[in-house]
Amino acid sequence: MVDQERCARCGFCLSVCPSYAATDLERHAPRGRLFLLREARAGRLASAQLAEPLDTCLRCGRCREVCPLDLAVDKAVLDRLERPADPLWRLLPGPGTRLPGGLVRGAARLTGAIPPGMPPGGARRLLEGVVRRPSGKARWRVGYFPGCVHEYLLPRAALATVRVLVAAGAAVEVLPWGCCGLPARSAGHREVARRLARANLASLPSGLDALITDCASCAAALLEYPELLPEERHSAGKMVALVRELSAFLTEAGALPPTRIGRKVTYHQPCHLEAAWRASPRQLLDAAALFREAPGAERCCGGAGTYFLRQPAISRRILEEKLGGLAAVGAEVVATNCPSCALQLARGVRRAGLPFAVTSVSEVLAEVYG
Amino acid sequence: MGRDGFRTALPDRLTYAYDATGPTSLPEAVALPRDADQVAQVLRVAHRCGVPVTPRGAGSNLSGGSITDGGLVLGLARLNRILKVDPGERRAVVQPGVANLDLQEAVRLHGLMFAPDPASHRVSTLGGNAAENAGGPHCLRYGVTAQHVLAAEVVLADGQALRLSRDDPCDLLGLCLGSEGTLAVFTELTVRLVPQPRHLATLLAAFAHLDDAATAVARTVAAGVLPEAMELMDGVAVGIVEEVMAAGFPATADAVLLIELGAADRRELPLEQVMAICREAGAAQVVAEEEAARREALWAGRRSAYACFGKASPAVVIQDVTVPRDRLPEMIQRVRRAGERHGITVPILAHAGDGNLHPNLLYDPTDTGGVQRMHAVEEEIVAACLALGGTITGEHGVGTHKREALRRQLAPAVLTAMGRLKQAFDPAGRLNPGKLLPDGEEQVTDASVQGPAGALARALARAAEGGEPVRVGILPELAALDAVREVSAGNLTAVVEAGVSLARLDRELDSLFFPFRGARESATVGELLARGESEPACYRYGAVADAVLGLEVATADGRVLRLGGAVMKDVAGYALSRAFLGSRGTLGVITAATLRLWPRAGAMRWMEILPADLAQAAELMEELRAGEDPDRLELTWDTAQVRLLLGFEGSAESVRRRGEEARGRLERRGMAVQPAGEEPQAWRRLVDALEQRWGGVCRRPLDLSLAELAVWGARAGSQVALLGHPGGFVGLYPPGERRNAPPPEPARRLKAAFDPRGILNPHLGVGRW
Ligand SMILES: Cc1cc2nc3c(=O)[nH]c(=O)nc-3n(C[C@H](O)[C@H](O)[C@H](O)COP(=O)(O)OP(=O)(O)OC[C@H]3O[C@@H](n4cnc5c(N)ncnc54)[C@H](O)[C@@H]3O)c2cc1C
Ligand code: SF4
Ligand code: SF4
Repeated sequence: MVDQERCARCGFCLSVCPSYAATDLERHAPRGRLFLLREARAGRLASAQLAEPLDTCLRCGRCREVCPLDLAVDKAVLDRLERPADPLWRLLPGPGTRLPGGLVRGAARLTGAIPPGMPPGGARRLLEGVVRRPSGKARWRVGYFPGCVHEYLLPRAALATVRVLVAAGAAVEVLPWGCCGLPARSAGHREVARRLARANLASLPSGLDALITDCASCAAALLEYPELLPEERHSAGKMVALVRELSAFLTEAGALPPTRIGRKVTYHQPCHLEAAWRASPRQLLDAAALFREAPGAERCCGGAGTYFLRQPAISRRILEEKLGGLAAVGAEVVATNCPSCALQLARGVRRAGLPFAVTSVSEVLAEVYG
Repeated sequence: MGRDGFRTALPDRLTYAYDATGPTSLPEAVALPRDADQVAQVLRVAHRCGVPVTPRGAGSNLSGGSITDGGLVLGLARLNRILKVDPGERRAVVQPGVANLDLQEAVRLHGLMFAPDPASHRVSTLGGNAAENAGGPHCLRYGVTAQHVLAAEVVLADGQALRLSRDDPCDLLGLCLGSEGTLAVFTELTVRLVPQPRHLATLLAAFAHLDDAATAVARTVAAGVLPEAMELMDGVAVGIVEEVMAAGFPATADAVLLIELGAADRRELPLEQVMAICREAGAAQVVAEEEAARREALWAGRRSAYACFGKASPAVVIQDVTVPRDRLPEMIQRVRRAGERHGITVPILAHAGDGNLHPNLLYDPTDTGGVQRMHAVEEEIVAACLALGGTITGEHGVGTHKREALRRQLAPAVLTAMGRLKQAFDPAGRLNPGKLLPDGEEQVTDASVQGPAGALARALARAAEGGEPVRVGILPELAALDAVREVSAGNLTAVVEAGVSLARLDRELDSLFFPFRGARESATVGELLARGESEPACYRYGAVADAVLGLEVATADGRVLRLGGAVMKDVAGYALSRAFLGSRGTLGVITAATLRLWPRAGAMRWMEILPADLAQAAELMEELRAGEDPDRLELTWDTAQVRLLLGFEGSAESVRRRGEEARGRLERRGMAVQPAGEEPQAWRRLVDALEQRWGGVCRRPLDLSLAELAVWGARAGSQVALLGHPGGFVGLYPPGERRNAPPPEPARRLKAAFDPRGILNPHLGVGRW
């Protein structure tokens, strides 16, 4: 529980909140949301009037980073959204399953979430049960968790990650996991998220040196398992200790890019990327290509899962601001390590006809490793 | 403006019901204009309908300033564009809703910064900074926000738009700065930028006794060192920060000083000197770092202090008072005792070099007893700072929070005068009502003032009764005002009567220094201040008005007003002394002033060159600024000759070295460099010559850049400009060419309020209307 009564209303959080930047309305600012939550709790504001201010939160968590009191408005919003799992959610992702692939792809096509040129099938078939070894002796044994969006919508990025890891000297097993639980959690279905988490934990192979993911949002969700499953805090904690974002794993392991390509690359930092891992993708890209930091590289892209569908106006304004910054550095490639961000950026690039490609960090790295 | 810009839904009203102070009050509606025209439109309509309007930036103020009293919130967040950054002229033009940090980031690339750096810089807007006259650690060296605003577009309560600058016969801009949104709404600001020092060193000194830290501060200032920042944390603050984040402070310290030193040239960094001062003062530990990341690490504890207090306690009140610099240790001790007496933990942070301190009161809002005890400590803090000759607010403003306390600081006559100022701008009382001044009429019961100031005031009252015009400059009563009342070496201030000549003042100050000289050699303090002559010292020391901490003025109704005090930062009430500084005796007669002093520099050296034209002069000045960084730059020209004077001030060694390097640089550029004696009289001679030629001289600051000046100069024929400071020039005009546009309405209303019979200098400035 976040204690909204504690908010000092200093306003520091206004400076980073993407929804506030898009509308300049306090109701869309973290401070405003906490105040409205407080007023609702005190019975001075009807729930119906609370919905819009809360739904417009991207749950990017940037507010927490600057809050002197460490208040997590994203969590406060989530807590309020919490509701018992409705029948539909109970049916769909049974324990140990992914989000239903057909549904994800169908919805994605319908809404224009998938850029054209995407392979028709997901990577499920390509990746399932994959175990790859380096030619020489493996230095590490790692589990790879691609996450739903990579599997169904951006398999190329996932395959690139496997290639990079193998080239760096790791034996890679693709984990037989389902969804990380983030979508369910964001929709307010904590119980579903808990079920998914429990199933994933139960099927974690033993003896791994690291658990790699190249999706910042999945990583953030995994790191929250101990909080989500207090009764399995111990095993969740052990799993958390293994989790590494791909770039962080590579820099930590000292497996730096062996050569450099001549392409101009910049980076979009996903909001959910752990603070400790933010330097790594930049360091790798800088070693692998002609890297330049874009102004506002750390700003939200406005994608935020299904946010771009639910709040198209705000999402679009955030995206335009974002693309302006990315375009300013004149890069040919924008790399990122969250597939949901990649899709959002690709949509914007296509719509605005901008002269750069959006890929995963792993795809840039795959060109120089191995 | 549409539905998006005018909002009445409950969630919107609720989310504009607060600022960072605590109390809340629901507005009727919220208007969010996108440009100055919309601001004017909102104010016009509100004025017609009789609706009170409260301007709002980011709502981060700590005095209740942006909370309404049931009216309309005028949010300026959407006016958030940086319109222009001009690195050459070191200024930027911004809309008021731009966050302080966003401007910093936009100018950083050019090696510049906007000096005012409130701890809220990430969120607080420049409009809010200007309206609160915000301060921060940097203000020790560079001055508060008011000293960095060169011009502004404002909209008055009735919707009338005005452009204000230092240009005006009466400093309306200076009056609006710090007026907490009660006089006018800023819709555009032209601000001064300063170069980032290229070399920085951070020094952390831990002391076992608070008094030793205070001694170190005093000796550093007395040595003529002006640090970029000099922040003090008391032992309680250090203890809490250590507990929450283990910042690496010695936990036993009774005080920690963080001193940041900056210079354009590493050799000018007085690091060894200040370390020695700290050690001699008894520091138990002194660490210094020059590398950026390590410097930042030293600052980490100070920067997180507020967050640590917030985590250590359910709620925190940030108090803000200023005392004369040498009373800081005593003030801190008094705060400590008050906290102990009432069982409230009070960590203290202070901008030590300025005497400005922030006691943070930790309390539990759910415990009524605790809240009462917290208020009791607040009350004692206010009482203590007043007893020590301080002010109840140094940077956070009066708002609603300190309105009543203001009565204890300001005399009824002064409060009444401030009420008239408010009326001159906003006769209907629509703009941010209920802020800054206490409610109700004041009972002015001042007994008649003794001494020459009182005699002068009575003479004015008699003249007013008879409707006789008064030529202020030749008032016989001024001659009796010839005392240097007080010189404080500890606070670096002097209280001086208006009739004292600047030459005499200089002799009496001894090891201290008042840098402003006036255009006439025989000028008195009163003349200097009434004319507002800042050149040429302002290049280094800012405008003379900024060196006036307190002012005593006799008004036409026979009163003596005592404005301001003897503290470096003071935002209690309006900056009313601005009405009298530079307005040439048309609103009142200055009888005495409390002046800010500096330690006298070890050496001063002048040299002179004759550039071929203004364009070359401009180029050379830019080079010198980036290189040896002279302490004076004076450009004078008439049709015949461009002349550039440079002055170096500081330790004998620094003056010699920089002087030689500048000479080398100029000679390489083919200039003949002439030494120019101790204190050149060139510009005084120029003023004299022009006075003879024209039968008098009119001066007014030009809001021109160097390039514009070159064009202007080519056209202007016989006119002459003096370089004042990096942000502006002063034009000298024949008296006949005085601008004939009537002064803006608030200035005329001010004149009517302070001199209803129009007796004071009717031939000058606002006096003529
Ligand atoms: C944690 C914290 C630390 C702080 N540290 C400092 C500090 O170090 N130094 C310091 O000086 N202050 C500090 N403050 C106080 C505050 O940030 C400043 O007073 C700041 O200048 C307020 O700016 P704002 O944009 O939030 O204005 P607001 O709070 O919205 O408004 C402040 C006042 O200005 C008026 N106003 C706002 N915009 C305009 C405009 N365009 N035209 C006319 N009037 C206007 C409002 O009516 C109101 O009276 C701090 C506050 C917090 C919460
Ligand atoms: S930064 Fe934290 S304390 Fe400050 S207003 Fe935002 S949520 Fe409240
Ligand atoms: S989580 Fe992101 S969008 Fe939501 S309030 Fe915080 S900063 Fe704003």
